[in-house]
Amino acid sequence: MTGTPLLSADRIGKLFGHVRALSDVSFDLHAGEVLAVLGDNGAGKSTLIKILSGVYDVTEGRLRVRGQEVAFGKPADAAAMGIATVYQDLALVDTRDVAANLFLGREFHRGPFVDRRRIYREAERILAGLTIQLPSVRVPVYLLSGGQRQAVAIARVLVGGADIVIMDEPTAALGVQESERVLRLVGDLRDAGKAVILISHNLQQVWQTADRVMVMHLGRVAGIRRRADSTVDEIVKLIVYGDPSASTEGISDALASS
Amino acid sequence: MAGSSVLGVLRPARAPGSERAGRRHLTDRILDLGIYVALVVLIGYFAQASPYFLTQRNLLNIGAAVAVTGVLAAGMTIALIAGQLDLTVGANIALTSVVVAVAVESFGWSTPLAVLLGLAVGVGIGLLNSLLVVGVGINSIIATLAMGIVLRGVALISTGGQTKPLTNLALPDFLQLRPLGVPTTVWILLVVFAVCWVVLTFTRVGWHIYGVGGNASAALRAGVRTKWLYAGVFVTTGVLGAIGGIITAGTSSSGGPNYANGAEFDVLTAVLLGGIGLAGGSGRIQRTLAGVLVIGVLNNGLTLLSVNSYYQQLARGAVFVLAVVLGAIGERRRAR
Repeated sequence: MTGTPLLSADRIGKLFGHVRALSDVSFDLHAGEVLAVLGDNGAGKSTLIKILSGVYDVTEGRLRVRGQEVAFGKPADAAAMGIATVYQDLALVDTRDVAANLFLGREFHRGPFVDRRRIYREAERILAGLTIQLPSVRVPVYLLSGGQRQAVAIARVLVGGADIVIMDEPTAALGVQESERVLRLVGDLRDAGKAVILISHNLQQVWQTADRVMVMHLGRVAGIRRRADSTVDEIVKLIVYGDPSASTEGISDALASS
Repeated sequence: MAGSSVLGVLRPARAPGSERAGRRHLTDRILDLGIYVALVVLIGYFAQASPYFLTQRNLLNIGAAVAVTGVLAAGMTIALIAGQLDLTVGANIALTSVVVAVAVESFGWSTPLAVLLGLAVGVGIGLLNSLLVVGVGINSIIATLAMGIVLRGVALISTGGQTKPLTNLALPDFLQLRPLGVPTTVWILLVVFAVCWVVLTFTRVGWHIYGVGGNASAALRAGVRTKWLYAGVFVTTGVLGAIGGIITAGTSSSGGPNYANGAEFDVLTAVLLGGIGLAGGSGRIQRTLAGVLVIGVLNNGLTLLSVNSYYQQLARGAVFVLAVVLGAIGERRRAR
């Protein structure tokens, strides 16, 4: 990869009072690549996502977007820099219809008034481009199935025109078929030139989709590997021990197949 | 506070891949229309039971009688859609009516200035509620319940517990006007509902109120400034409460620290009758207006038929129970 990275973290750290959640996290992310972030519970994945999406500020280090140093005070700041987050809970408003959810927080408007016609027209256009069918953009989200809800959450990214997409465990609540469909959508985002950060527990799924894998261990980066240059075994060692040279006889097979 | 609805009503997660995805049941649609059907049925019944009921004069009386409850209900609807509750409205009426009366009678202020002061009191109450709910992070039921007690205490202290008569009749006379034959109070009611309807249905702020009430953390992550929105909601309910207090001061020609005791109850009945969910994020304000009218029609009709006031009390209680039951059914169907 050449050129200025879309997103670049330079030794960022996060403290909650005296509790250290992240230290020394550095990585680059380029357009058109999928970076998977793996790690056990408590490795710091959630903290990292929340920093990148503007929920938390950083305590140490620097964050750059397109080479420009940024300080996010709130999620809107991150969104303004072109960073979109698809949360594990999908962050949908169940009582509102599909179109209102797609455009929540960035409704087309004329002065204080929403431009309803444009919102519904654009919503239909965007959803027509997805593989998952929705009955109508006027259906409240609480009536949709799990896969349809996921499609709405991912379509929100396309609405916002973000070029950096953070996906938090997108397949955690889905069955095998729906997971496959969502992972294909991750590939589509990459082909569209988006930079995708894919947070996951599931090494198998990540292995099909990611260009690079970043493993976190106890709040630090244990290693970043190009998938083509690494092995499942090495990644498992990084996840469990934070060290690729550790001996993992028996464990890696068990984990890799889980 | 963020992420949970006002009463902590949980929405169970739906099973993924549910069969009825994307379809609404006939029952849901009928429940949606219930309040309008109830209104029409009540009007039909009283119209044939009393020759006076459908007279223009009586209908306008109903409108004037529900004006204060209606204005408060509009505010409560917005609060509930945003996932909050404002229980200061009764005390707000008492305090505002006292402030207006004292400003005119004791300070010798002009009526328009006193009315502005009353509205400013409403803004202040809204800001205090916001401070407790948004700033400190206290559940709005508890915060506004406590604030209501404080406000009524202030009203009692400032008049020594006495009702303050308005001898300057500028405000009462203004409210007696009937532009185009319709009482001023009814105009105020209609304008308040029209403005709230426009804001909730057609503005970004309105859409964000639904968003924040339906899923506060989602709205926050979508870039909605939820704290400002909550503050705006409480200021709105505060100002609408103050408008109710000013109307009360005018129609009763006095300010009373004991006025509107328990007004929250009538207001909630109307709002729940309109099917505004306690879980937040849903409901339409035109249905609240229908709920307000159902109560007004019921009170008026029962009085016209000379029904014993004890039985009227029973009827009101029954309507409240009905409202809660219908609301619960609707809520459960939505959560399924």
